[in-house]
Amino acid sequence: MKIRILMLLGMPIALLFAFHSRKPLVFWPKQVYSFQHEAGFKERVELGHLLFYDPVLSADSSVSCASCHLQYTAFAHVDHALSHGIHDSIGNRNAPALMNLAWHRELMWDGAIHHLDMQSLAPISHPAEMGSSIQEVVGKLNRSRKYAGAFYKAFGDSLASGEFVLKSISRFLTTLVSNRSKYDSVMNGTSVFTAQQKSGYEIFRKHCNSCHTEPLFTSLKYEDNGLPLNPRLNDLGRYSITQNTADSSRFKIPTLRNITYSYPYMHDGRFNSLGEVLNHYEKGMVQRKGMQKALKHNITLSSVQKVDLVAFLLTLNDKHFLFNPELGFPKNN
Amino acid sequence: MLAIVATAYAQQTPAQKPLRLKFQYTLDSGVVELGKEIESERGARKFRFTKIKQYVSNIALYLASRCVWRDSGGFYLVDAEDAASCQIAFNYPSNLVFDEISLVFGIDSTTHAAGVMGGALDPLNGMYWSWQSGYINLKIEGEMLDQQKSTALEYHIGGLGTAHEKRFGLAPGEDLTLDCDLNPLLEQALSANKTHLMSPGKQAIALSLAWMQSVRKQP
Ligand code: HEC
Ligand code: HEC
Repeated sequence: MKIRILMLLGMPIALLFAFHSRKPLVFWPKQVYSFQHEAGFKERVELGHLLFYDPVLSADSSVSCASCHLQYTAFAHVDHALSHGIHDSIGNRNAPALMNLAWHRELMWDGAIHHLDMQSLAPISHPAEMGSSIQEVVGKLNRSRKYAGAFYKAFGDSLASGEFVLKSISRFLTTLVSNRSKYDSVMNGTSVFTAQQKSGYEIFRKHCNSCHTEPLFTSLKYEDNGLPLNPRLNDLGRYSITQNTADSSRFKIPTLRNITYSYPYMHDGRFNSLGEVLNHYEKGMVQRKGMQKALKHNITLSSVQKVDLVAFLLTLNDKHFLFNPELGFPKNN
Repeated sequence: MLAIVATAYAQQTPAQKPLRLKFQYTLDSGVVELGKEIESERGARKFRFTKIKQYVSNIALYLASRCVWRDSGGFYLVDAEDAASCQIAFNYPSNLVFDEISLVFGIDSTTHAAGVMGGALDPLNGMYWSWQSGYINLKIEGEMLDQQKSTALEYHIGGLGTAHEKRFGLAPGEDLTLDCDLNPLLEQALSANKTHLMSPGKQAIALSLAWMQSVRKQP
């Protein structure tokens, strides 16, 4: 009898241990934007997907969001350090890779945008980007009626409004989730690092993780990583939003997921390779007030360590994300 | 049974009384009309305004400094170009006793930080900054005419710290007309040589306070 009871008790405990050992090694934080629970979410995502790829959003209907945010490059703008917009005008900043945005409360290199819904207003209205206005876009959409059915399905109203356009794009943006890299499979116990990757991971944890924090590979904070000021742009980052001198030269820490695809690097796209980035952390940093401890000293790595670190960074590439047709150019458009 | 339904119905919709709130944009004592020249009395300056818009929200009625009723309508965009928008009408329970009305000029910080909304808050209304998040609580655009010269004026005032609550004495049955005098704000901006202000911050807060001083109940 006693044994039976012990066995009965033991089973769930054993099961608990079995599950316990498969517990992921790293936990994702809670999403900031959880639109997936709202009615019409799927239809809104579909509409946002179409709008993201539609140049109707720009003044002369030549530029879409995807012109600067290409799926194959993790939704960054490759080749151009400073993204091009309509009439070949050049913006002031490098288009960042877009992923896991449901976790980003604030957007842009300086955090100028404080809600994902409002993100699209910026490129639509920026004269160097899409050079249009939300009024113009909504007017065009309602004249063409091409999307009337889609607006109806998503919002119960076939007439576009600023609210509907912005909401559908932000819903689509939250579906740009990258969580299927080799790193992720190691963390959920379905794969293992090679010795080189493991060594690189340790170097990463020691020198980089305080800012490029797992599993998003950004703590989403604003920091100064010691880049010499680009005198042509004079971009002081977060300072331009808060007017707080402590924020001078601080920029939103970019994610390192899919990093080999999203070159050039930094807010002004000054570096073209990870080698250049590591050289910067090794001997290119300018020390300024307010820089974090992790960067108070040059990060000197042997050439073997550098190779290991890059080998680890390569495990953050997520082919599924880069080639998932659900995020790509819409087929029946 | 019927009686119960009837009383329940009566309880849900007690008799209502209308209250009309009217906004009028003035320069000193002159009424501003968009597109028309107007002269200020004090500074003896001439202006022509092309756009005056402001948000008003959180309308509530007070008795002895305690809130006794709150409007559920939320947010109103008072646009000089659209006469209908310069009159807000709502109903309150006819047995309600109050001695003050309270309005918030602008958008509260919670709404300010929230996602996109429709109606009066739709960014289509041009009262949302695009380059950085945040509502513009007050927009004044036009020109100052100085002998031969015209100077463009553009004030987009918003961001944190620029929305303010203000209360006005009001008795049941009374309607309310508010004069919004542009002069104090313009005087303050122009004396600092500011013809444009399009971003949040200290200057926007200072001008929003000047605006609050110039909103008065019409006697
Ligand atoms: C002309 C190029 C261009 C176009 C077109 C463009 N963007 Fe961007 N995007 C940028 C640049 C440059 C930045 C960074 C700007 C900054 O930080 O000031 C950016 C930033 C972003 C961010 C912030 C990412 C982060 O991590 O903070 C999002 C989201 C985004 N864009 C989405 C969109 C959407 C949606 C569209 C279409 C409505 C769009 N972009 C159109 C160039 C562009
Ligand atoms: C104190 C915080 C901090 C630490 C530590 C740090 N970084 Fe960064 N990193 C940043 C910031 C901030 C930026 C963006 C700077 C900018 O563009 O102005 C950045 C940018 C980058 C970029 C460019 C990403 C892109 O998409 O443009 C790479 C790559 C990078 N860091 C790698 C590393 C590596 C590898 C380490 C460790 C050796 C490291 N970082 C340590 C803060 C940090």
